[in-house]
Parts: sequence; C-alpha cells; structure tokens
Amino acid sequence: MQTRFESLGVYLPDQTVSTQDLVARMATKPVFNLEELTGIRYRRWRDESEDSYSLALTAARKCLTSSRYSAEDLDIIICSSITRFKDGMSFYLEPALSKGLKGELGLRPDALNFDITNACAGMLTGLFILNNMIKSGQVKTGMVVSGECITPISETALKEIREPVDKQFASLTVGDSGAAYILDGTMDDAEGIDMIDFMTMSEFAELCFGMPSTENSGVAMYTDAMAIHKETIKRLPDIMVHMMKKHGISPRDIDFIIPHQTSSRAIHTAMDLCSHHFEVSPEICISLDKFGNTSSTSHFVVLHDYIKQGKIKKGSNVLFIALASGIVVGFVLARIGEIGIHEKLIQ
Amino acid sequence: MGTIITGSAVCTDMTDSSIELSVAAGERCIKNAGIDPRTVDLLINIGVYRDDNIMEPAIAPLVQKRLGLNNDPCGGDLNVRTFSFDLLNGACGFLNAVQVADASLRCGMAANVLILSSDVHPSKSVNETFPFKHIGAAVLLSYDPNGDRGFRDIIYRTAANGSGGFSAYADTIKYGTAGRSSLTFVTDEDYLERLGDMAADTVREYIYSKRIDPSGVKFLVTTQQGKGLAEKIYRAAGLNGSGRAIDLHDEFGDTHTSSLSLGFHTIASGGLVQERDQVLFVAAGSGLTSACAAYVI
Repeated sequence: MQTRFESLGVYLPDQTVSTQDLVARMATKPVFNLEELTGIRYRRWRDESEDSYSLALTAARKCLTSSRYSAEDLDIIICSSITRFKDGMSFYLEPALSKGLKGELGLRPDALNFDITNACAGMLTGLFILNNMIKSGQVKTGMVVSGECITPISETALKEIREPVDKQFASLTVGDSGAAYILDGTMDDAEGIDMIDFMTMSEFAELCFGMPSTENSGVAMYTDAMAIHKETIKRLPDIMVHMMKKHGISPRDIDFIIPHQTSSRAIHTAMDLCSHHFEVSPEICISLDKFGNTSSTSHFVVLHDYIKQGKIKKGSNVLFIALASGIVVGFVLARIGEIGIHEKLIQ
Repeated sequence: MGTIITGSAVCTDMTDSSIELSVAAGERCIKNAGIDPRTVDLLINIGVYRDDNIMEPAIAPLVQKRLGLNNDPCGGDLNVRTFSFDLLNGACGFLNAVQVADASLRCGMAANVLILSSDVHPSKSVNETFPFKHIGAAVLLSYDPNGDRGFRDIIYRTAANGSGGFSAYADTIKYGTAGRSSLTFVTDEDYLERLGDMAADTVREYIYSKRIDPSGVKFLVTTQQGKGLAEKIYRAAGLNGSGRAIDLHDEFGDTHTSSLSLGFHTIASGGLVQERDQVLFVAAGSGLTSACAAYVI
C-alpha cells in the first residue's frame, strides 16, 4: 500500500500587486531589477478581512469540495502555516489553528489535529508525517492545510529597507495564499507517493529569520539570500544525485520538477547544476510570475496551476523539491492520479 | 514490539531561552541514553512559547545546530543526517509527537527520535503574566521489534463546542515595536475544572475501550495546569488501585509542553518503575483537547 494525493484545493486572493508597484513605493530602490532577478511580476494580497486562518479554511473547503471524502471521513488534519495569523494580525500560539479548522470543517471530535511549522517546507513536512501515519496504520485519510498571510513582511520591508542591498529584499517576493490536500492510501500502482527524503542542514539555520519587527509594528523577515544561495547551490547537486541513487530513481522517471518558488534565476541556476548529472532534463515548473513566493504552500500552488493548464495530468511523475529556512532540503516523488481540484476533475 | 523511551532528561537551569533549555535537555538525554548523537535522525520540538516570538525557521533546526546533530552532512556520508521540525498543540503536543515518532519508526523513516520541549516568555526573562515554568525536557524514542514494551494506542478528543478555555497570541499590530517580547493570555474562569473533567473522561474511556485493568496502572502521568489536578484526574478516572498520580505542580508549577516528559523522567530517574509496569499518560489543554496512552516499561 502506498499513499496518494486524493484531492487538492488552492485559494488565491483576488487582489493583484505588481513588482513595479512595490518598487515604486520604496524610498530606497534596489540596485538590481527586482522583477528581472526574481521573475515575479505579480503576487496576490489578502483583503483586510483575511488572515492565515481564513486562507487555510477557504483552501480546505475547496479541497473537500473536490474530494470523494467528507470532513467526517478525515482521521486527521495538520496545519503547517508559518504565519499563524488569526483574528487579524494576532500570531496564535494556542490553541492550534488545526483545532479551529477541525471544528469549522466538521471533522469528528476523535479525529487528530496538530500544527507543524517548518518554514517553507511545512506542507511537504506534513506529507512526510501523514504518509508515515497512513502507512503504519494509525490513520486512513487526512488533510494537510496551510494558510499564509505573509505579505505583512512586504509591508514592513517597504518601510524599513534603507540599503541598496538589504536583508529584507526577499520579503518583497512573497504572496498570500491557502492550499490543502487530502492524502489517502491506495493499492493502485498507477499513482502514489513513491519516495520521500528529507534532511535539515542546521549549520545554516540562522540565515533567515521571520519575527516581529523592532522598528515598526508588524512582522519582518531578515534573509541572507546570498549566503543561502551560495551554500545550497554548492550542496544541492550532490544531495540530489545521492537521493536519486539511493532510491533508484532515473531522470527518465521524472516528468516535472516543482522546486520551492524563490526566484527564477536561483531556481534555474540550481537546476542547471543538477541537470549536468542527467541525460534528460525534466520540465521545471515555475509560477512565480503570477503568484510570487507563497512560502509553505508554494509547491501546491504550482501543482494546482500546472494541472489547471493541462500540463501535469494523470500519469505525470512529479518531483517536489523543498528548500526552506532551517535549511530543510527535501524530495518527494509522486505519480499523479485522478486528483480532484476544485475547478475540474482531471481524467 | 513497540515504540520505547530510551532516554529522558530535564533542564531547570537559570536560563530563560527556549533554545538553550531544549539544547541542555537534549544533550543530557542523548548522554543518558548512551547513543552516538549522529544516530538521532529525527528531532521534533513541541515547545510552544519561544524566544522573540520567532516564526521562521522552526525552533528545531536552531536546537539541532547547537546539539551538533549532522549539521552539514555534505562532504561526509549523506545517509547520516537529521530531519527536524516543530509540532505545536499545547500540552497535548507530546502525545502527538509520540504518534508521529511511532509512525516514522515503524515505517523505517527514523531510528532515534528526539522529542524536545521548552516554554519561555518571548522576552527571555521572567514575566509575571507568563503562566508556565521556564523548563526544558527531552525524551528519546526508538523501536523495539521484540517483546511487549512501549506505547500502546493513543486516543484523542477535542471538545465539540464552546470556548477553548485558554488562548495565547502575540498581537503584532497592537504591541507596536514590542512584538518580540509580548504575549497575551486569555483564560476562562472554569478552565481548570473543565480540563480536569475532560482528562478524567478520556482516561475512563481509555481504560474501558482498551480493556485496561485499573488496578494494574502504577503511575498516572498528567499535564500539570493546577495544584492537585493530577490527583483529581486520578480519582475521577476511577484509578483506585495501588498506583498513584505524579503531581509535580507544587515543585515546578505548570510545566506545560514538558509536563509528560518531566513526569516520566521523575519516575524513571527515581527508580520508581520496573519492567512491565504500566504507566498511563494523559494530556489535556490546547482549547480543549485531551489525549491518553498507556506505556509499558
């Protein structure tokens, strides 16, 4: 028995903000062309009534709408938001966001719930956890959900960036979103999660911090983007080659790669270095131009986008690559089946 | 066969950093277990209240780094590494983490799982509004394919309706520039009473549904939100044999996410348990949630 993605729901707020608009609002302009460097033209911003919790709730409802399961069938819900904002901009530590979602969605009182945080690897860390819980027989079916109201760090960066090279520039790349998926078990070899492999290179755990600002109200993110890029680029090809050898995976087994969405230049540099070891190059999926970096939801926002476009379809082999503060490096190889998404059911 | 506790430790040193408390507890735990630190391949931090209200990265990698657990496997054996993350569910996080560890161990995705906890006021100083003891705790878990030791099934319940009884948040707008050092706590007047009732109900249900002989329960290890709560749960659950509840509230106060690790460490390090003794863990909290599991020494 293996697990598979049974359903997927993504919610993106309507409001679109362009990179040009953001740069125009900055007192200190970057010395580089932000749009050209990142590949981000637009990102979505929540409206005033939305927060991390509501974004997660909307995505979870969309996911359930497309699923053959009802909320009462779910044995567990795991929420992996970094931002954890509820009731506006209150960063909730207790109760768990998953407790509220469990109640509002209508899960059984005996269904499990807990939150996890693992920066932008949150939803894939949820996959590591839920896959093991299903395979070990603890649960049969569960949901991993995340709502990321993360553009408040952009608002802080707009106020606080004073240097042409500043640790808050990465804060201008993010966009708000919600995403959820349902995972269950299957005996059908035609689909499923074939491989999960994670590690944390904690030597570099301090290269990115998200926390309340001390200069203004609100939250900020401080990223040493150059150091992260340098250290990960140096290591990623070896880690990827090792992972593929260990699990007996050939590049021919991969149709699409969904990397964490940081910047198009960084992604292409990393993937080019990795592909030197491969005889074929899978398609690299990037939706940065439309949605920016949506943090912990990014892989599922992209998966949803590519399914909607008809590119990723039933039978596609997709390699998800997590790269997150910590530094977390992770790989998930999935064969996509008849995954439900709320706009249409892919046949 | 089952998931067993191979080491435990607590840290009550005079530090008010959640990271430092977890590191100290983790170091002692690994030493007590007598294992090579490099064999810890999964680290789960369940502490909720952290230094500076850090949102990213997870606290777990910051602790992993200071513990020196395969911080940079590249250049060496890439099969020897550690994966770490935070799991948050208030005082019930310990039993959730045991479930996650158990599943990972059974699937061969981990061999040694370190569960760490610590809770401090985000200002990293003593603050009279903070209801929890600044303490760190650790347990190490592994899988024993033979014998009858280890954790049994866990049951888990959340109250269907009404107020959660307790909430904690950082209002990042209202606090102005003090967001890294401020927290708001809201506690219902009847919170402690409801917690005790819910925990006792969960223990009763566990005993009934898992066919546990109440007289065979040597210790009840509980969360410690109030004076006498452990004893109240013990009596209300109908545990009236020769066993007893571990009540550490008078000594430590509310040790929150560290309560169950501390309770276990107290009986294990005190030589109070022998092989095949049965311990019941019960957690209650996190608006309102309860969980219970039996553990055979």
